[in-house]
Amino acid sequence: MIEILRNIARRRLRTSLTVLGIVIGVFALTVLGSMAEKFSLLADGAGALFRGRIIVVDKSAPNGAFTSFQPVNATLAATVAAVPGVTAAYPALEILLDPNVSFSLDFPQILSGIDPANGRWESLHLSLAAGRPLAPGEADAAVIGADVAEQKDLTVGSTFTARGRAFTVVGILDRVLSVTDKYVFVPLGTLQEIYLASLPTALQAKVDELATRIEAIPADPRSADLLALRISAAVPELRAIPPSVILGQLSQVGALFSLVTFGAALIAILVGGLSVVNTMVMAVTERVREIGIKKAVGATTGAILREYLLEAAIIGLLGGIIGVAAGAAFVSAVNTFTAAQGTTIFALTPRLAIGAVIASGLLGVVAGLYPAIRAARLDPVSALRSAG
Amino acid sequence: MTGAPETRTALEARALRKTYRQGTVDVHAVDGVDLAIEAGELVAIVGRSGSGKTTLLDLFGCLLRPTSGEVLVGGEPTAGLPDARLAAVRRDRIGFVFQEFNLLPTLTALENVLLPRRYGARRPDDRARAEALLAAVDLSHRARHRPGQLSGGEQQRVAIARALVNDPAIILADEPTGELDSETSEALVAMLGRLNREEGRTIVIVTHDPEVATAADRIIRLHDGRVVADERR
Repeated sequence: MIEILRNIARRRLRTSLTVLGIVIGVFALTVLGSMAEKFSLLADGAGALFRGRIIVVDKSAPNGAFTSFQPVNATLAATVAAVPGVTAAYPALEILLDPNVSFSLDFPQILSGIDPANGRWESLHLSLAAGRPLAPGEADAAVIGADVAEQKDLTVGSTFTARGRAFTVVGILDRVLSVTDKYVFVPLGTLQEIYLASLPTALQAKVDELATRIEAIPADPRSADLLALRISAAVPELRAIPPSVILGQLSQVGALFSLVTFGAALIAILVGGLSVVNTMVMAVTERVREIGIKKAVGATTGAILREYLLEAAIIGLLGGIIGVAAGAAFVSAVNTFTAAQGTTIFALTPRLAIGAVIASGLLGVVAGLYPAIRAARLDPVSALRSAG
Repeated sequence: MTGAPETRTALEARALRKTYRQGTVDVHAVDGVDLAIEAGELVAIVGRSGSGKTTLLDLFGCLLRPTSGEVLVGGEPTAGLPDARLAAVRRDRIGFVFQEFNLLPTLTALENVLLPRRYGARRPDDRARAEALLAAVDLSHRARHRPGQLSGGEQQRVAIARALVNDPAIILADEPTGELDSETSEALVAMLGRLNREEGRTIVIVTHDPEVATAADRIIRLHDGRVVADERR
């Protein structure tokens, strides 16, 4: 082991450059992977908001858009609730916190209306880090997501203004690294007033359309897709989106994103791996005579193979550890910077960090395989008698 | 023959042949050698360069596989043994000393002595044994030095200590004095002589140095891969 470390240290510049190659690859894997991980958490969290319920939107809402801002007649919730197989149906109203914000790198902040009396809040299974949920009869209370709290520097008891109205924070949600970190839950009635005021004057007459969707809770979640079809048929003004469509879309987008980011990172790592192959081939060539000596004193083919594989694995691990550390530093620096804007772009999960280090060790082993086999197969006499 | 000391064959070559192909020509480096070296002998193999003496030593040391014929080590045939078994024969029964010392440059003298132990079953007294061997070749004070910091004579003494660490019955030395001055050579040959007389090890030295050859009790002369003279003294 000591000899292997000394061998690695023998050609400092060459080893450093090789390790640097892996560092760059693993750095890319860590940073891009953190982005993919964040995205997958986002998708998971978004999925949690839609899981176990059927999203019902206005018939005219754009197709496939499951987070539609198209208004829908809130009073139809009662009609939906009456469809057999539906245990409850809630009108839900969600609008952008800041109407001037469009989708950027991250999810926008959302104002969401909650009627504490109808059970929708409980059905979302959100946990609070501080404070309490909204109570019936409150008009200006708010439960806010962790990112919102951080960006606006709010604690329980603070007040803030959203869409021209003042709210007092009564609760702050646990950070889940997903969409609800950016949610502001306010009483449904208050939000309906805000929403109404924001509509063009011509539309303000349609005062019953005060929801952006209706959420129907199926009695049997397994037949939710079927129930969605029944709701659409029973209430012609509405279109019910089967849960499998929503979750399918989310996981599809997530998978595509992961594929692209990990693919890019893998290419970077592959290049690093090739430089390990090169370095190890050169090391074996330089040490042909030493391999001959070892064989003469009794080293078997397997023993030589293990020594060179271990050396390559150590080079890989070294690059992996430095690469993950550099990636973690970068990710946390950027996250700290963007936290002020209420956004986190990266989530460096433990599985990603550990996976990247293990992958780089394996990369070393795979890259070292060919040089190590070459070393191990050397014929002792020609190795011993070689020059150098 | 009652009462005669029982001799056992340490190394035996039977119709041994090693042929290299150089371009379109076959070179018979060892060309039909029959030879038995008894346990406890100190043998010098001499001959001009190209006579096949180093190839013969490599065959005895199981570093090379013969083209035909066979080598027996301690009476046991080695033909057909898999590589791992040949490695074990080299490790446990044979110690090598080379002209160029062949120490590993990244290891200290002590670590070089311990190298053959790395490839066998380690024992708790390995280190103590290696230190004792370095003391026996008068190098205790150089144990932590790397080969680059040692003189040629010191390096060759480290190589001898390394050859002895597995307590082999046979020591094969290929031009061990080739890179040493005459005074150092003499001391080295004396050391090999003691290992032979006092510890009963079989020693085979390939050399073209007449001084070295005179220390042997048997001189085998090779020419064109064949034994042309075999004198006991």
